[in-house]
Amino acid sequence: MGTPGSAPASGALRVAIIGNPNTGKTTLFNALTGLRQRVGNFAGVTVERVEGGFQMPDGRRITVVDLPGAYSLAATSPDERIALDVLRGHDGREPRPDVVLVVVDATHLGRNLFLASQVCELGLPVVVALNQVDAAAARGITVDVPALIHELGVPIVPTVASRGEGLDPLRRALVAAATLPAPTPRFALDESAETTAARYGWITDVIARTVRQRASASGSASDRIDAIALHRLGGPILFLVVMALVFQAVFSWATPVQDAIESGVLGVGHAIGQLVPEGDLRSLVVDGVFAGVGSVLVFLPQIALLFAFISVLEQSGYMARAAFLMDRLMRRVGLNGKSFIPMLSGYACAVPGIMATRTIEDPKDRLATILVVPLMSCSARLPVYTLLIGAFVPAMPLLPGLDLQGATMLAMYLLGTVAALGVAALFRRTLLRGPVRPMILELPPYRWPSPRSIAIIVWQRSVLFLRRAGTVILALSIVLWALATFPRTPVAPDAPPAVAQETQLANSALGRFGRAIEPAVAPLGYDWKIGVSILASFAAREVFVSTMGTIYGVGDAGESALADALRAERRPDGTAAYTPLIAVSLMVFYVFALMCMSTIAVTVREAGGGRIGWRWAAIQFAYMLALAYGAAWLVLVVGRAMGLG
Amino acid sequence: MRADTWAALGIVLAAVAYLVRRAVVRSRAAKATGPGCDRCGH
Repeated sequence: MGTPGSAPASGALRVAIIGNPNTGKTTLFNALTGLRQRVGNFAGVTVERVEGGFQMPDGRRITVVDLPGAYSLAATSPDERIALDVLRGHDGREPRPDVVLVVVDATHLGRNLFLASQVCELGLPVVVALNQVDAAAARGITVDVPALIHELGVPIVPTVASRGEGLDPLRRALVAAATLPAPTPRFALDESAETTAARYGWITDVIARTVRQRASASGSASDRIDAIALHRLGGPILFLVVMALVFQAVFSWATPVQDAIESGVLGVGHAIGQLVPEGDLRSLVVDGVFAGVGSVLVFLPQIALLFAFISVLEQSGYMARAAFLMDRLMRRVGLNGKSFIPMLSGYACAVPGIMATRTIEDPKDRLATILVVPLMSCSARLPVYTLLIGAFVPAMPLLPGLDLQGATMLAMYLLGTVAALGVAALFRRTLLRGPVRPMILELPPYRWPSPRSIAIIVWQRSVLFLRRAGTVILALSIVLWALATFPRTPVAPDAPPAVAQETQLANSALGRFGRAIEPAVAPLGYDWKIGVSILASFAAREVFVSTMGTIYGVGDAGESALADALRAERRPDGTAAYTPLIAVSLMVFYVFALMCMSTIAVTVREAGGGRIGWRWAAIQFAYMLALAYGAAWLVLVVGRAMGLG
Repeated sequence: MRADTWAALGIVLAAVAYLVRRAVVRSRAAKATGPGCDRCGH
């Protein structure tokens, strides 16, 4: 036997969860701790250590640390290094764990035992959770658990983490293991060819003695689906169809709820306007708060639907297939398919997308991916696209299930994706030159997404969206209302209300500032109102919508929806101020521009921190702004040359 | 100035104070635990 383990004399027992990627570690962590960390059916969802805890019936506190997945103890990527540092006690922030919980996938026991056997040699008490025993049984795989316990010399508990099965025995095993000695090492803890060969030989013998598999006449359901999903021609077509359906659904399914919220916001704003006497306070509430925050709130249904679809794609296992499909294209730009998973994560938010690059081993591959992830249209762009498409693009049917509005939305997402590939190719041929490495990607079996898990994600994202609307967007709307209202401009008493309000807005602090910066946006066909809204949206992209809402709330004598106000806006010569061409140009600007402080901060950290991190973040910000300005200008010039506006 | 203008300006000042405080808190948090995103919870 090895070094005896010892339970900590006082304080919580520390348990570290480790295992191969996509074995259900985070699902088990969530089940044990009651937390709601993000899970997905592909490798590399967890890229940093996450801590939670639970209490035993006797009051004993157990701290659980969820670690990124690893295939062996030889770390090759930043996320694997995080896991190993914790296990070896090299993580400066915390002591070495008291017990290691190795999660192994019962459907791929042979491969999973490589890491499990290495962990058994770290000199720490070990418990193995034999997870997904239900999936193994469905495939005709039977594991002789007592025999496996005998072979490994550690406690093994069968679990189905997604259904919470086996949790109580697992909790008891973890507490008991802290008092047991560490398992006896079988091999030297190195990665030499001899040791690796000996370890695989031992694993082959163990599998032969403990696992029985019923012969299967035909391939699994996953294999049959993959025959279509990974087909050379059919696969890419299916990917495009899936994305088109997602964006069409985000647009059309959300519309009835969006209209109801819009009517509700206008109605409540109108009712409050009746209660508060005429004056600045009423203007602040109606034109500032309701017009600003209300114009963003109406996009809640779209945000909820987008996250629901992204969750379905992540949990079903289709994300890994998309990465596999894109591998050939990614190689042409100098990356490999593995970089496509962080890029797809960027559809939700660039921050987790950039953090997901920790799964990429090669530093230059990783940096190139970090630099292009923000080009993927994130959920913050959705309100901008939806407002402009709803106002200026007709719902003209194109194909069964797809109209021009959905196609325009899809085009914006595809434009960002294609630009990301092009820019990555440029970086890989210039600043980040290097060889293209082959991709090793595990294709997980397809799984039915859990409705509960999707509901939790949609709920969490909706609450965060509402919290932002009720905090930062509310505060910015109030400040922008003040800037649009003061200083006062005397107007002729007999001037029509619309003219009086437009004069006041034009002479306000916001109006004067807007006109000062107007020359910078005039080449793109934008007026000062768009210019100010773009500048304000550097705080957060959605603020573009709330700023336009506040400007039109203050400057508009009526109480109309923002889209109607934009369509009705006229230049002094009577022509429409905003045309479909300007709307497309503006959307293209938002596809490319980096307007997110959180993304800049995470790029600084993940690109090396300090001066190096800041340098790459500056390069990222500058190239994206230049691309945004250039592309928006090109759209306008080409569109006008074609007689479109 | 009218009372409702004073009230509106008070709300504006409170909003400015909130935005400044938020920027300071987020900046400190970014230095301590790394940057996060309050849109997606990361």
